[in-house]
Amino acid sequence: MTTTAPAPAVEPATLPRGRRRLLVVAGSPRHTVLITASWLVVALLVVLATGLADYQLGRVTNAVIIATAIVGLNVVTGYTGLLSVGHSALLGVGAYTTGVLVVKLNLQPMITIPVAVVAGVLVGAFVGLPTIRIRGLYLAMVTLALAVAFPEILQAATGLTGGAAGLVVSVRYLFPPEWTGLTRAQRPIWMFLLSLTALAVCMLIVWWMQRSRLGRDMRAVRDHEAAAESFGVNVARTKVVAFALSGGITALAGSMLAMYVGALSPAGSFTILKAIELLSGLILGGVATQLGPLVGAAVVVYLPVLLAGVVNGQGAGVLFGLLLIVIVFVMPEGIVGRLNAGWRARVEFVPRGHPYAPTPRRERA
Amino acid sequence: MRRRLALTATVAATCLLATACGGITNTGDTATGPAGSVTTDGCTDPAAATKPITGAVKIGWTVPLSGPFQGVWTLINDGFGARMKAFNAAGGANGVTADFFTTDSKLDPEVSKAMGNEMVQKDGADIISTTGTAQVATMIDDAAAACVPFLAATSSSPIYHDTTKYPWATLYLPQTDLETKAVVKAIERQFPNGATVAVGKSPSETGSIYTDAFKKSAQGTNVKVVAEASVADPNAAATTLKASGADVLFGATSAQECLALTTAIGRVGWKPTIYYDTTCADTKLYAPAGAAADNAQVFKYEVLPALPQFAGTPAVKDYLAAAKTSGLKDPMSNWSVTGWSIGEVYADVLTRAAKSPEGLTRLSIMKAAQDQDFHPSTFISGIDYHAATGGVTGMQPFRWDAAAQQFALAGDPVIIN
Amino acid sequence: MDVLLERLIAGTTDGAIYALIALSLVVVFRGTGTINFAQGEIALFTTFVAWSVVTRGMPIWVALLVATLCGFVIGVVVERVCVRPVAKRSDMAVLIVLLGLFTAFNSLDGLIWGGDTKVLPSLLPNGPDDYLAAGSARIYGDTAAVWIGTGVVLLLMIILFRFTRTGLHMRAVANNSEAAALAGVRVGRVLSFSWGLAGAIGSAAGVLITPLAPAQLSLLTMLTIFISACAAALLGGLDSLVGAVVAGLAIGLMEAFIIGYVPGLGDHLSETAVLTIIVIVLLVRPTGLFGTKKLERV
Repeated sequence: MTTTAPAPAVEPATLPRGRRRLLVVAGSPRHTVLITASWLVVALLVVLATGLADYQLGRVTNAVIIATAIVGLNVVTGYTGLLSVGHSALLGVGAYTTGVLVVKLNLQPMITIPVAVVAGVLVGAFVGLPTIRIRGLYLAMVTLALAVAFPEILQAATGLTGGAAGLVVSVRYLFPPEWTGLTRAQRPIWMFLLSLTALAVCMLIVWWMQRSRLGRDMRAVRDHEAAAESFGVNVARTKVVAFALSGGITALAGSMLAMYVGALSPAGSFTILKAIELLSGLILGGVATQLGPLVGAAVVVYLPVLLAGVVNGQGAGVLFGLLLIVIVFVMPEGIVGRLNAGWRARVEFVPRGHPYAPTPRRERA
Repeated sequence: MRRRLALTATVAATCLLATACGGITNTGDTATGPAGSVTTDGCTDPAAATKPITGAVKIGWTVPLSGPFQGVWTLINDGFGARMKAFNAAGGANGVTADFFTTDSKLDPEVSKAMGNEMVQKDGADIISTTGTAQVATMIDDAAAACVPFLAATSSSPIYHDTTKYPWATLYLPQTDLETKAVVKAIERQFPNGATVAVGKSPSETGSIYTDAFKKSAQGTNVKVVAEASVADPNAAATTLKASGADVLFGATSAQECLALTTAIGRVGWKPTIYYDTTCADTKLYAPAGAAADNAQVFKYEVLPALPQFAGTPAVKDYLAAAKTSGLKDPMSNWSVTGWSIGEVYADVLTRAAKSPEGLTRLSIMKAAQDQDFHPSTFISGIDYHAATGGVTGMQPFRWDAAAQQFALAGDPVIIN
Repeated sequence: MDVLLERLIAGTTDGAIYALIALSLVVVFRGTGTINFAQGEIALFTTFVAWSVVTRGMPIWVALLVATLCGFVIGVVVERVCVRPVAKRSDMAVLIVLLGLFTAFNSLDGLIWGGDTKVLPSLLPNGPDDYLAAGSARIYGDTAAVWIGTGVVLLLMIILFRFTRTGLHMRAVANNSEAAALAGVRVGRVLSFSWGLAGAIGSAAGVLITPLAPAQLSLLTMLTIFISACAAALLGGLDSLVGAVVAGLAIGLMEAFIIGYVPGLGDHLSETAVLTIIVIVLLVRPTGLFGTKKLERV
């Protein structure tokens, strides 16, 4: 086992001189404790959140939904390196699928979720097709076209989408289902738990994806497309699959958004400005990180709220813009990217059997 | 293999969801009563709706205080605030004063929804309101669920005028079809033998709502719509509309687009009779177009304090005096008058609710708002605010006088309701 | 026939507007390899500055000079202070800096000048009677100013890049900045100059196009124009000056003709139609109409 691990040669940076670091070996009791503790913290946060006042819980729900959308964006822009300014449309595809099915066909909102995801996958794949030929910033043109065309198409299809006036999903369709045992007044908690579940599922899928062969192919495409191709990665398929997966996840977020907001309009949440908000969230949180979308969503949802307490009106916009720049200056790799780097400098995580691992007894507690 | 597994899993999950949710379609009970009746059934906290309001009634408004529309809304907000100040100075509603506060909606539906809930739950607002159809749509159900009156919201969408569906809300803007009917009547008056109309349409919500309403109003009349073009590109639109050779141009446009359209049709050398919708009733949107805007007509219901016809009236004198004592910055602006007029609607509701047998409660406020039928002092005489028929009852035609750089009256008010 | 001529003029006018802004995007791209998403808002800021100058009683051409100078300074400062420190570390970080500037500049305009619509005079007279008749079609002063402006900027840029030392250095940096540095080109200076130049072009463009903009001078003036300008820069091929102009004009004409002659699409889906055509063109020519194809080595 140990013979195949030429650790010092591969990772010279993991041998810091004169710096005390915590060594964690996979599967060791310390590792288990750390993992359990982090899950406990997450569970505690969720329980605490359900105790919030409804209006605060609503904001948290909003942030969770935006985080889900950013998780979707992360697949394409983060892991595969394809810049997209069109995710507002994919969000809208999910939202309008749910909205139209509930309003026009009188379907249960929960039933519309898989349909919304499928719609997102299809539209995502369709948008991904041109990426086979179009690369780099030119690809941004394809996604820009999507972002600009989507609100126009919504307005043109008035019969289906309610046109410019939008679509109202009456609140009476959106109460918690009976099997949950929640009362109607507990709709905010239901919405929170539902969107949190959606987020968790998406994060799990992405976690699994980035460890799978698909994830490796995506990173290869991102880092060097031509090299990836020469090593036998099916670049075209990888890109299309990335867009399809991303579309499905973002559409799921859209479906949640439709249920949370209860009203949809082309000028509201589905213009290019929304796509820019998602992109800002992703980059601020940390591109190609697991937790980046969460932190990024918190920033884009809560920063304006906090700023409104400091300065109102146009000044808030100026401050928001400048703060974005400051955050990027301090942490160009994003907040989570930076934290990860800081964390790695203090904690060393090694697989079992790693050359550092065999000496657990001599470690300082 | 793996793919088939995924497919099976999806199908299974869908079936599970279907059974768990008790069927695929909604049974959706209709929790609405007969028209015009407000009850606390279905409120999350019925007691709060019937609790007497003492001290101050909290009025929370969320409007764009940042972004491109901040300028207009700051003026409207100032007008509203000044009217509430005057209301308090006059003793409020039986001693209960109005505590008016505004938050920034950023004209974003998600932000507005959060703001609406925050104003109700955190700040304890007794009345809330907002502007813009998308924002109204996201807030109106939340307000109804909390049994908080949602008063004089500004949306031109006809959906929310339905009191059976939205018993906890009233709107300030008149129903669009009221205005388009007035426009059609005015066109008939001018062209007794019938007229052809070209519609310049804003790509926004205002554009489609006004265009649809205009077509409906023109049905069965001698007024025929012969062309339609989006003013997203005003020059292209002007060329297309001109090619139709219509007698009349109806601009279903908003704000800056009116100016752009007027300029564009002037430039292609077309001189139709121009009508604009009421969102274009602002001097700043006509003066720069020069002669091209001459005689363009627009309908309004609020007074223009700068016009000689209004300047001398007691109502306008009172308004200017009260505005001065309340510290209103720009009382001559149309937008300040709009804000003041919305304040008039609130002041009337609060006064009448306080006089009701239950005293001042959220429920009595909503009841008073539904029955509202009065003449706001800053409305043109003959035009009232009547909540049950959708707000404003009539429209006064104005025409732009390019030489005088001001509007002038163009005939009598058209009263529809 | 007359209608066709009117549409041709309307289309080329809008097209020239997109082309002017697209030219400034191309100049930045040649230097740094990024699209300057803040370009439109920087131009709007300096156009407001120009408006302030005009309201102080100065003639519009003085305002144009002031705005152009302002644009140059802002361009240089943005590159030196905001972009360069993060450019080495991450492309994504540059994107956020530019989006931050985009928000900040637009709000700053609102903070300083307020949200109401203003009217900026045109460089050439644009009153109701100040036109040249071409059949029934009319060419007004502001239209002529935009056409002339586009031509002049394109010409100056071609001269700069082809025949001057600075232009040679800029091309060297665009091609391979490390090699250029080794050859003695002061890359930092060249980059600053590129951004300043782009800022100046954008600002001059702002003053020229605002009298023609649907939203006149307001906080909304640049949003839609900038999106079309980006499309023009991409369709033309990001590093091609001629491409930007050709693509800008093509987009303007397509819009005018689709709105004019394709009733179903023109009413509701004109933008969608134009953008779809652009995507199809990119499928055939992945680096735009005139963009250079870069060879990649594994």
